[in-house]
Amino acid sequence: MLMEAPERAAASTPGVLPQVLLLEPDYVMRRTLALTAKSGRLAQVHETGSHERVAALVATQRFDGFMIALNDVGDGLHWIETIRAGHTRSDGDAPIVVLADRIDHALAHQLRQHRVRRILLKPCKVRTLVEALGVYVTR
Amino acid sequence: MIVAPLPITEHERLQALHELMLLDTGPEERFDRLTHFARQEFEVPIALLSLVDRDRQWFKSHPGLGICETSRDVSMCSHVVHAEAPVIVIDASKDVRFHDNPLVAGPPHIRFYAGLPLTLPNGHTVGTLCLIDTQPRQLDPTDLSILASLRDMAVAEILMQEVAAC
Repeated sequence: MLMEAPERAAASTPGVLPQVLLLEPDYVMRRTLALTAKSGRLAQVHETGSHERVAALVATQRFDGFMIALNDVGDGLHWIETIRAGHTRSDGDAPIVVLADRIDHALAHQLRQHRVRRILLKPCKVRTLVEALGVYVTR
Repeated sequence: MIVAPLPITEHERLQALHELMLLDTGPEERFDRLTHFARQEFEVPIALLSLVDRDRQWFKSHPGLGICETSRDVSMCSHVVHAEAPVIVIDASKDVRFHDNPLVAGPPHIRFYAGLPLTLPNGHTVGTLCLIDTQPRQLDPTDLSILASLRDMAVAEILMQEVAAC
């Protein structure tokens, strides 16, 4: 599912990779994306499956964008709300891509309200995530 | 069928392989999750983590393949070990190296093969992470990059084993 949102260029310096935070429980998925993104010089993906780790990262580091898995809808939505409320070091309008096991109208509405850039339905391939990194690249 | 030549440093390579103490060990989830992931990502029937021994190739992880080893002379992975580089075969039935290979002419009827070397920091290539399909196909640069990432994770797991064994 693709939700169109106003284009916003990721803040980046030429030669510096976009910094992306990935919250995803599947270890192999997130490590593969991080390694592939780095080798292709697409983005520096900071990956974790831990909400505690996310809390530490968003409090200390600025990210150009986020990929957030909504395994338990509450947890993932919490981070989206936190980011949009400006309660992190990142731009409150930073691009967010959501990974969801399922989507219904209510959730789609919530995500639209939070200006989520893309929703990727699981199961999805690493290739799909690699292609989704394009939202973080300065246009 | 063209049998892969032996690497010049075959003796040292075998020593490095045996020092890993992985051969003939049981399945491990940390390797199986990589090959299972590869099967799903690339939609292939077979993905292998192969270790090339003196006279055989032995599979530490082999989802989709009912056997755990073959003789080395029919091993496509041996060509990766010799080349110390990826080997991509779009259609093995049309490849002069493999068209009459028993694994191509007979079960599992290999057509597509993509093998990336498992190379240790000491420079020795001990085996491969490979994909196998029964129909011809190709990989694009993004596919290869993803497969290389999975290969790098496999090497990292192998090295953790080596450290743990010390």
